[in-house]
Amino acid sequence: METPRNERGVVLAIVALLAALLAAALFAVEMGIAGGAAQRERVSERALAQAREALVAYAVDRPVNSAVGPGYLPCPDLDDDGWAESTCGSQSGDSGQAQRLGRLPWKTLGLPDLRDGYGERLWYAVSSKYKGLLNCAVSRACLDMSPAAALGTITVRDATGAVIHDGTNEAPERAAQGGALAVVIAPGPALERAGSWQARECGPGDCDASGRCITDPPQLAARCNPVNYLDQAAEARFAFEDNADFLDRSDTAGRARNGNGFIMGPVVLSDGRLAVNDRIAVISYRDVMPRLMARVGLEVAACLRFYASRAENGGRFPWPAPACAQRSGSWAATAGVFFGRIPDTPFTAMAAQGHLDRWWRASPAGDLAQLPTADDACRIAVAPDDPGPQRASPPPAPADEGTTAGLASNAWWTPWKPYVFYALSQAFSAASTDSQCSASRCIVVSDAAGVPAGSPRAFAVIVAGAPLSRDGFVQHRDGASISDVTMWLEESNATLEGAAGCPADPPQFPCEAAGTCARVTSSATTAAFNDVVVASP
Amino acid sequence: MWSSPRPSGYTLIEVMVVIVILAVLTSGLAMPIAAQLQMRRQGEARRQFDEAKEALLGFAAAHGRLPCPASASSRGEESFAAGGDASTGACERFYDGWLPAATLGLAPLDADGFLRDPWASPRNRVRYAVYGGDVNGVASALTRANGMQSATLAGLGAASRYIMICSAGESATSSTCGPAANQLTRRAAFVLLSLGPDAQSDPAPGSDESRNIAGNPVFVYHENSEARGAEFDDLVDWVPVHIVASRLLAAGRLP
Repeated sequence: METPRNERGVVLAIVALLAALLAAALFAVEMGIAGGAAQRERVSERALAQAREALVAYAVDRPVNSAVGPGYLPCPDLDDDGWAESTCGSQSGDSGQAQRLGRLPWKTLGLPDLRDGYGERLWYAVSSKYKGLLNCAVSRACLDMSPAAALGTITVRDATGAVIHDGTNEAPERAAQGGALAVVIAPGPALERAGSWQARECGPGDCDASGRCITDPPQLAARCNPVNYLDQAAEARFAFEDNADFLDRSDTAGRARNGNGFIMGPVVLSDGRLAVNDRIAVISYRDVMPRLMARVGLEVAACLRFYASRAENGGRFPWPAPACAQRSGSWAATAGVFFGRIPDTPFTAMAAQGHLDRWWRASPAGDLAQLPTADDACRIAVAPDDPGPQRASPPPAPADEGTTAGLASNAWWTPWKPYVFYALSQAFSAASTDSQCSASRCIVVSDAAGVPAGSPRAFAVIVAGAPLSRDGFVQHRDGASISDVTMWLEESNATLEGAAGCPADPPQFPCEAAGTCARVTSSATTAAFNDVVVASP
Repeated sequence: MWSSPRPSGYTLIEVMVVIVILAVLTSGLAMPIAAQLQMRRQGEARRQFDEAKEALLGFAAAHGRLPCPASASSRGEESFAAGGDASTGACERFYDGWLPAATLGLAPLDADGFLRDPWASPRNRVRYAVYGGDVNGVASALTRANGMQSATLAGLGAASRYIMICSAGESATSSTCGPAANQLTRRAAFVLLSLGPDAQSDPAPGSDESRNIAGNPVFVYHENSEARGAEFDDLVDWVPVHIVASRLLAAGRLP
């Protein structure tokens, strides 16, 4: 009786040990799988975030010249060599739509070779208005990236099929709810799609040694065909959205067809099958436009500072062109006016105090060294063609070179011009003899509640956003409305125009009576406020 | 006699069986655990890089310039060349220094003020290189106070090169990647480098790993390789100049 008892004890211990080991092994494997999946998702999210920042940065801080402004995104990479293709559809956006969906051009963006958590490169689609720069040398329409014109056209649905970015919207006052400007997609692992598994290998003869797809078009190679990476939600409640099939129209032609776009994974069909595992990061109008407006404001502020830095101007800034004068087509600086738009020819009214010409700098006749070139600092003027540090030939005369808008020119600044306002302080105007900021002699930037922020400023550039629907009306901007500041700016900024530059019609704005003509409101973008303020220290 | 030795013999065999099973099980587990550990360290290093990148971009937004790399004796602070300071942007070593973790306020630091990667040996201090060349006529524009502002956005955009990252090192020189196909980017403003698990051993002369510590503005990054004489397990990450410019724009330091 003793012996079996002994044996049983040992066996029990062994069984316990084995069970513990088994449990530990299972636990470790489980942890590895769960940790691995979460880790993969994190890697995907991080890659998407990096791509998103790089794209917004590319659009906002791309170097500009007098012809081409900021705001554009690169075309996708179709053959998987990392570089953006040079074209992705016609100017109107009606053709070449398949070229607007491809891989993220990571080399063009200067990024590392971003991969999602499953080792796949990211995909990328760009909307018609924001795609690269194609056929744009002659058309002002395609250079127009101003807030009311540059709307996104990509429809994006969330995983339940609800539209969260509506590409069919063409009303600028709903731009923020409208289509996405671009999307970046982490394709995730291969899935079964329309009855067959997504195959991502290079077929024989499809790719060169570096992995680039050499078929024509590249989508013929499995490795460069979106159907092998992007998924389809083939059910009515998801509008049969297919991420590999992207149809995008321009602002003008066939907006209603922009319902085709992308759906965010994970989408599970009613039979329980995972149909879409694509993760999507959206680059929205709200991501880009306020920063783009700030960039334009900064370019203008740099021009104004450049102007003030000239010895003959002694740190003083040009007079604005009063908004009330633009209905009759005048963009001339007017002495005694402290608020308006950026003048075409600064300082003309104060010629005796050092007249600067249309290049915003003194240009003694015949002195080529004093003339600006295409590399010059102020890029809102129509720049001369000559690149390099010094001009080789005298400027042609007459020409619109040098004017801020250039009536016949297609410079990027032309469509932006009505959007940009400028509030000048008394202390830094051409009439000032004392550049000291004291109360009411400088611009005070306040928050939405009227609380001043920071020190008083020499000037403030205020960039108007897309029209808003507020105070019971939609801001409309055509015709004579160009002179009605309330159609462009909001809050106290809409009341900044004083009476000095114009006759009694239009009527006096309330800022003079209220004594708030030097107060500029700067606040985060909301449904009722979308001005962007760049103030000079 | 009835406490016979036989039962204890059985238990010995059983113990041996258990040991064998244990060995089999642990060897099965050990591989994934080692691989997992390596993966975890790689992930940890990437997270560390992300943190360092954000700190560097934050420094740029606050100071209008990127910091100089730390030297071996600068205790994790940025190190200027003799006579240099923030106003000249002249660094002691642009391309073979370390992350100035103390200047950036990163943690945890080792006793000498450096940040170490997850492999944690003294040679696993996170390295950092920043482009030190002229941009648009401005010397050391990226590390000089408001140097990028002086170089202008247009100048930054037009500059033909910054730090080069090559996908293959065999034709790389001290200033280029060789054939264009070998080039991943020529517009890296700064580079973060971890020498990886094999930091302890000196890389073979002429190997891709040796190029990454050669002190020139050309770095190599590709998949890990275990080929004899050409082992490669460096981790390289970089930020393109236009992201730095975008942060400066957001901070109002450009244009």
